[in-house]
Amino acid sequence: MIELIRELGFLVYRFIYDLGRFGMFALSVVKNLFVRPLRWRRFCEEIFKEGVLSIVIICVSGLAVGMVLSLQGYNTLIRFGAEETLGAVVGLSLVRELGPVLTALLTTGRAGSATAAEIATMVKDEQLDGLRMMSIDPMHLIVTPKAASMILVMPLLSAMFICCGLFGGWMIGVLLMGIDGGTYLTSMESSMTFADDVAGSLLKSVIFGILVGLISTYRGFTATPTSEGVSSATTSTVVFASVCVLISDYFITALWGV
Amino acid sequence: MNRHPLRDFIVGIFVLIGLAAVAYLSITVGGISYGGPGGLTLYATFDELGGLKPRAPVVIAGVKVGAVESIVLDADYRARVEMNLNPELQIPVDTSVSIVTSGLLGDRYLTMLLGGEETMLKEGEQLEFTESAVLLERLLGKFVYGSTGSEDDR
Amino acid sequence: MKSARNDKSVAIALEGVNMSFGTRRVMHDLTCEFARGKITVILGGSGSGKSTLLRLIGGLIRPQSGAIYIDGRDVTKLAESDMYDVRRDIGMMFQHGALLDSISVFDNLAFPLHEHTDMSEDDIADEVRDRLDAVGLANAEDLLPGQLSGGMLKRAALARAIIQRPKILLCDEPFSGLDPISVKRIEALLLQVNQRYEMTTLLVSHHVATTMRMANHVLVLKASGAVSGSPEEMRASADPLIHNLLSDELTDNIDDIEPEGGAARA
Repeated sequence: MIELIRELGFLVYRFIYDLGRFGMFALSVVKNLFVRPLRWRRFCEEIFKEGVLSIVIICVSGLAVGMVLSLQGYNTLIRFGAEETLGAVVGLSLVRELGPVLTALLTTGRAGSATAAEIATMVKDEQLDGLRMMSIDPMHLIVTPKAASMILVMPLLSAMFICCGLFGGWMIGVLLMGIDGGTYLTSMESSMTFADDVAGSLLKSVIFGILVGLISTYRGFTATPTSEGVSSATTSTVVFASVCVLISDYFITALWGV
Repeated sequence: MNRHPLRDFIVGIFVLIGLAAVAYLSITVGGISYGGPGGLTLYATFDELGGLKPRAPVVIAGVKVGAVESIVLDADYRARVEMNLNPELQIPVDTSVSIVTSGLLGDRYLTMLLGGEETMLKEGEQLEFTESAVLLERLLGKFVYGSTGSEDDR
Repeated sequence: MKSARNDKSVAIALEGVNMSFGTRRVMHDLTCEFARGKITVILGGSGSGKSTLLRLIGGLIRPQSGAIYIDGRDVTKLAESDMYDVRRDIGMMFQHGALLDSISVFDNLAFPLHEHTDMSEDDIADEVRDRLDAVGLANAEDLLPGQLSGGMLKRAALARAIIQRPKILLCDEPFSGLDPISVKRIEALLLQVNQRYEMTTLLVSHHVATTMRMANHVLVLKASGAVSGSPEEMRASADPLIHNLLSDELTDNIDDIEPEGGAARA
């Protein structure tokens, strides 16, 4: 029993310790954003790795999600004779929830894990220590561009996901199910506004970008310098980032009604 | 760390596509164009909104010409509705506006019946003739109890 | 020790340094000093804290207590940002090279120059090619670190460590995993660098024979503290541990011959 309490106490201690360390890490990233020289070239490189290379998976997934949403929605709505609101159903679900959340989860799997693995490998091979010995702060050169580019990449990918989803939904609803194209679009467009839906969607994906960027770099940066450390950094990035995205999604929705 | 002109170019295209997607969502889907400072703002006061909400469309002859911007309670405890309309519209002063329902249980929206006066309403003016929402519950109540309590139609 | 701190002939001095990782104590009240411009070899059994000592001097880890003076300045009290200034004068050759694996050897060497100097693109290229020539890697400049053999990697690491002409050179196992020819080559390079630039050189190595040949001074790390002296004094030492460490000299060259296909490619 005493053992159990001790174990529990240690876990709580570890959690608070980790949280504090993560906070300091995040602060350091923010600080390094403004330290000169600004790493534009590195930033570009990271956008390429995190964003451009994720386009295919994002667009294909978006298309598939939009299509299935439209199919499911149509089959449900037609029972109430309300199939003309299909555009609104597909549009609202994609913009408010599925776009930002699924993009964040996919990006975590595709780019977040790669980011963590890359940094953890550099820790393991002493590449970061090598940089330190050359008087180059790895937080500035390696970590900050990776975390920052994720913040930019996430809303862009999310918007692409949503656009592909809307197109997929339109294809199924209008071309396959034969809903009038005008009705579909009007129902979609009149159900959404910029301030309530689109801006909220972008805000969500920016917050997810911050979360995924920071968690993946933090996990890589604090990895144990072993092969196992690299793999556990990668795994825990995917687990933690996904859970954080889903939990924070609830709170954003509850607090701001997005 | 070293230069890759092609990669930078691709990154540029990626950012452009992303921004285009954001712009499409904002402008077409989000309808950011309405409600700009250039819109024609008119007011109307109702006794009963019956579930009219901000963002509900305002239509003339079934064509959407604007949206409800905001709803407040005025000093006489009546609902004051601010509408944001297409600035090119010419609306006569004796135009009437009513709250109607799309279908039996659908959303409430505003429809305008244009008047015949020569004078047109200007920015920030009030529409005098309004018709409140018809509440289905009250109609049913009248039908069941045969009540003849008059409804204010102004 | 106060005098040693200000002594111009001493480049690095440690005073009562304690270092432990978790519950494992690696360094207990270590006090020692390293002569300026000389090659000092650090010997000791496994886990005696040889690599830890180099990392402490480089400021990559901080001791629990004690002081480390580099050119008379206590670096344990410095903030990380000030440490970056101190490190401009320190080059470190890591055991596994620690080159950035996503960029070529040439870029690895050019990178610190891009970062810290105002040299033009052409000057940097000249300087880098010069160094690569010196370590015999002229035809490997476009390769990625992952494509290098062990011996080439060590030479590239050495070239990067000295590209900014530091005053202090720290070498962690510069000979490990190399064939005898590569060992000779690195040995010659280290001696040459030490003589040409008068770099204070610290060598941590298990290759006792090679290092004893090069050393001006020897420092032996023991659980009870450090013993230092000239190579001759060490050979004459009656201490059983030192005797054991140095007796490896005889078998040294057999250990050297490890199957390392890279040498053939090099």
